Amino acid sequence: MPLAGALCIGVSPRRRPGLIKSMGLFFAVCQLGLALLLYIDFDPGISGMQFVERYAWIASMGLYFHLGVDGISLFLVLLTIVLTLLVMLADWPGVEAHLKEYTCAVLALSSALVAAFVALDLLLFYICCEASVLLISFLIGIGGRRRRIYASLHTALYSFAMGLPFLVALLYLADYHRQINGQFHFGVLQLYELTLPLEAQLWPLLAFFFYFAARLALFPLHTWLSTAQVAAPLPLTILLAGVALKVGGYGLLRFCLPLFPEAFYNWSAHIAALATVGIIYGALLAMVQDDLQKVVACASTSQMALVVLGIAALNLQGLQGSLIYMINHGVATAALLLIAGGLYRRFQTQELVRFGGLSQSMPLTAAFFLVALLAFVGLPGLGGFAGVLAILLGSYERFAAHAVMAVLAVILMAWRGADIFQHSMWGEKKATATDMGWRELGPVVSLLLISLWFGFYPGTLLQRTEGAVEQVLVRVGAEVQSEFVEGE
Amino acid sequence: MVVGIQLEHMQVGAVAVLVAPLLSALVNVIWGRHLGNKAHIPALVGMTVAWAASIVLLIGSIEGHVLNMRGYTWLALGNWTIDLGLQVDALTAATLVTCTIIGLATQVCAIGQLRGEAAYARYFALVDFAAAAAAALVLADNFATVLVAWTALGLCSCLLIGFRRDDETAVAAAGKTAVFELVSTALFALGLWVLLAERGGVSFAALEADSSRMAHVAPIALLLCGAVACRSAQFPWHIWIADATAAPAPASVWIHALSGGLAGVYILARTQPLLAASPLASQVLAGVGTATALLAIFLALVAADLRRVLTYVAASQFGFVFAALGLGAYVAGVFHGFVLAFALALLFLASGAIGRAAPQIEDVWKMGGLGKHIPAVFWTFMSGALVLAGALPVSGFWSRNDVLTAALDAGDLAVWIAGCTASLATSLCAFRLVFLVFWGEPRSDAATRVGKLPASMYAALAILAFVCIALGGVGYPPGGGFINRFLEPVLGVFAQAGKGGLPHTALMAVTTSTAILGAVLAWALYGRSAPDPARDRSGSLLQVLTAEYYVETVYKHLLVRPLQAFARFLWDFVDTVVLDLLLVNGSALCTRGVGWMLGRLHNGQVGTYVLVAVVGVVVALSYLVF
Repeated sequence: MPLAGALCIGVSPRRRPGLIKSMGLFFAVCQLGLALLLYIDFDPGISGMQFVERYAWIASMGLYFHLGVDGISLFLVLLTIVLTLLVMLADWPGVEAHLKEYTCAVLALSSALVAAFVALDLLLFYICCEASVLLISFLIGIGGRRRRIYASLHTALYSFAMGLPFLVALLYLADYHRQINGQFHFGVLQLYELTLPLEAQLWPLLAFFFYFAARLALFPLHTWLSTAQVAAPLPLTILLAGVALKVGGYGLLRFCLPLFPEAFYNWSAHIAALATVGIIYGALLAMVQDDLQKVVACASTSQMALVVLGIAALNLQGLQGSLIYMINHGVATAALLLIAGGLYRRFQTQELVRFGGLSQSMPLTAAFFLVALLAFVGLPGLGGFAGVLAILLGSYERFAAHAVMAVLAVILMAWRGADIFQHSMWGEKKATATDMGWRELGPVVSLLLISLWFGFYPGTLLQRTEGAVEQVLVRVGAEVQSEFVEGE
Repeated sequence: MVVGIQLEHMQVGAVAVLVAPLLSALVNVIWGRHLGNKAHIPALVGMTVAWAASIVLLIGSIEGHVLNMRGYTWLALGNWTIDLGLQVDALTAATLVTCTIIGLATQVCAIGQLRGEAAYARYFALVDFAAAAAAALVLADNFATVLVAWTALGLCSCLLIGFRRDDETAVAAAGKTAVFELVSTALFALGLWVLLAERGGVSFAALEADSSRMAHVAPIALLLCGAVACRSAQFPWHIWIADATAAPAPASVWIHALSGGLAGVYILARTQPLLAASPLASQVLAGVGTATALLAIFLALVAADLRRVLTYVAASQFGFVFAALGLGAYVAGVFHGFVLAFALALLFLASGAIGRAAPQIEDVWKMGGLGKHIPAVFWTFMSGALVLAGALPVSGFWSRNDVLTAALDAGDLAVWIAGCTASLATSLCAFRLVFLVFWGEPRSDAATRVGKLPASMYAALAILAFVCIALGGVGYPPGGGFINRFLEPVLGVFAQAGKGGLPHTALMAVTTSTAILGAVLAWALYGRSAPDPARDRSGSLLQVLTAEYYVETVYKHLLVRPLQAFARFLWDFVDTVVLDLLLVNGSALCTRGVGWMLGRLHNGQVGTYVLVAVVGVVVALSYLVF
């Protein structure tokens, strides 16, 4: 749908920005309508794939256009679509000259991300992932702010560099399938059935893991994120931090775990350790950043590492916690970045030292900024907390010490959040501007209401994700157990 | 007397206590600007409804009802479940009534105190939100709801301290408080986490049976109590309260008497089964409480700012509560907590009234002779001071006497001696304030220009003063009063009661004599308009006290600075140099090469580069696949 929209806009005249904008909006709304239908029709009782679409692409090569939704991808798809709509609603300063390319690219990016979340074919997933990175880097290139060329290439190269081993590992898997079943196959569900010997699992696991780690901006592969966040045009930052990072977490859940369960199990202690380092590292970096956008980027690094910790725990609590944490992170980050965008429009900067005493001239903005910050750091009562608690619960038995360290990092980030609010909104009046109106705050408020709802009723997420997550675990559990029995 | 309150009435009451303040907060949030200086009306209505409903609950539980309302499942993860619901038992009802009476009096007082403030509506919205959070905390039947409400209360405290948000000191104080509130929330969340992981649920029901089976009872109890200790400014977390006086005076009641005081005491009382199962946690609690009771009161003795003195006294007195709970005298501790909440509310409101009548003086050494101008404030302040001093027959005497008796009964002589010393110092401190503020001659010009106060403030003070004096009745006779009969079914009987060997009368004599001795000492030192006896000697002890035992310095140099330096090092060196420059350098060079090449080929638009890159990837892919 958005791809069709992108095409429509692509052929529409450049000289009518109003038309382009409303067309973009129209397609985003349609997309949301479809997504809501998807949500309503989704049956939480079924743990497998639903709404499966399968067309032969190059059947002889085992390439299929194979899509499907389950509990893991459902909310990520919804998140992408909701945020796309908000991006369409937002004003885009600085891109007026390229509005057409812009609208096209954002819609295409949205469809690439959605496709990545629903692709059941590894190659398709890879192509969508790379396409999304290219589009991001394209968007940074045409509408970026500081050091845009550098950031654009930085982002793209990170992904390519990590993507090549991934591609090779992927081809290896398909080839392995050929050796067993006599045919190339990239379908995830088929590849799940392969039981790779442990020694053969290791290097594809690493290739997969580091690819996803780069997508997640996990330490030490995180440096692209803050560069990109600072350079990216404002609406893009929302899709970048809100959704694009989650592709990595999704990949770990969907591909890494079920494809290489034993190796993942054997390596989970190392992965958890790396994640813990990442959690603390990101939180410490967030403490010393002076640009709001960079703070969000560094904190997101830390929070995505928390997701990895939850996944490494390899139990229902950890996995579900990671999943719902990603959703909530997307919602809260988007709310925060929308306000940050509003500030940027007014002051042409997001450097925190330039703000101060803003609540006097912008009381509404200040109030919602506070709530958005609280949601971002995962304060109890708002969305993020249930995820953090579940991740901690999951890691309790295997990585209790790691989890305690993670809590310290969360405190540090919350402290930083309080600090940011105090220095930008309260205190000495350094800047004044008109308050945000309801047109700007409307999206923020709706996101915060969603966050509040998830905070008080995380069951909405949990009930629909449980079945799919359990399936992943059954696979892992079966493999690990069989290995265990063999070991005896 | 049987009023005939049924469970259905209690259900309505419980919901009303919770919802009424929340609704009035919402009204003020949405229409506050239009209400202007009528913003107190919804607040008063909400609080009155909550108060009436809590009285219904109290009568219901006196008649022996226990209400349990099932809510919904908040989190269900495998075998770990968190169910949310409401419950009303004796402890809940008593706490709620205390909270709503104080809340109502504070609201009434705030009308006179804050009239004319620019953000009148914001104050009432915040306070109503805090009241709703407090109600949720007390009505909850599980630790998860308590955590959420506890966090909300902490948030309200910060926002109230930073109420005058263009005032740098207030803002800095709010920021400092936020750190401690965060630590408190995090400790609580950790406790909740371990409890959930060990037990599979977090409800209060059957906590007693489960505590004996759990492997890590002590850490859970310590984490939960640590959270409360941080909020109640127990040592070494006492450094945030001094600055918290930047809040408006009625807000101080919420911050120190209700959020940091009553709510904390309530949570400690709810952790009672955990404490009972863990001698270690109990000992730590008793130790921390006793230490704070002593250390904080010394700070109060040298502080000059009226409300700052009161905050230290609050910390010190809640130290007594901690000590009592640590010793196992749960009813005595909770009773003292109730009494304190009333007394501190009264004193904070009275200090606010003083501030309103004689603006711009906060230093007690610049006051003096105010008793002649505002006699009603003097008498109500006096009754609060009597409660603090623990003079017979006001409530403070009975409650603290119970605590000190418990110390002897438990055989903890050190706690008893420290407690008596702290009592003496508290009495000295309370009468020091009375003499310096109300007695003698004015010590500054400002103290001679004393204005009139609105009648509503007097009304609020009078109600609280009456309760402060009369509440002692429920604690009579010691160890067997109404409060014991009412709360012991929930909190259990003090196992060591009466084992101290000393007769009650002897102990009561000791308690009374500390109160009298303190008052006499205060008269000798401060009664005759003498100059500050501590001011002449700038001794090292005084320095230690004004620096609050250098705890903040230690935090700053051992924790905050190294952490910030380390973080800066990580960003400046590891991230920027090692990762970005060295690690990505290769690819960066490569990038430049490619970029240069493409730039030569095309017109330098990144979009074009990317297009070429896509083509390249597609070509590479098709090569690999086919």
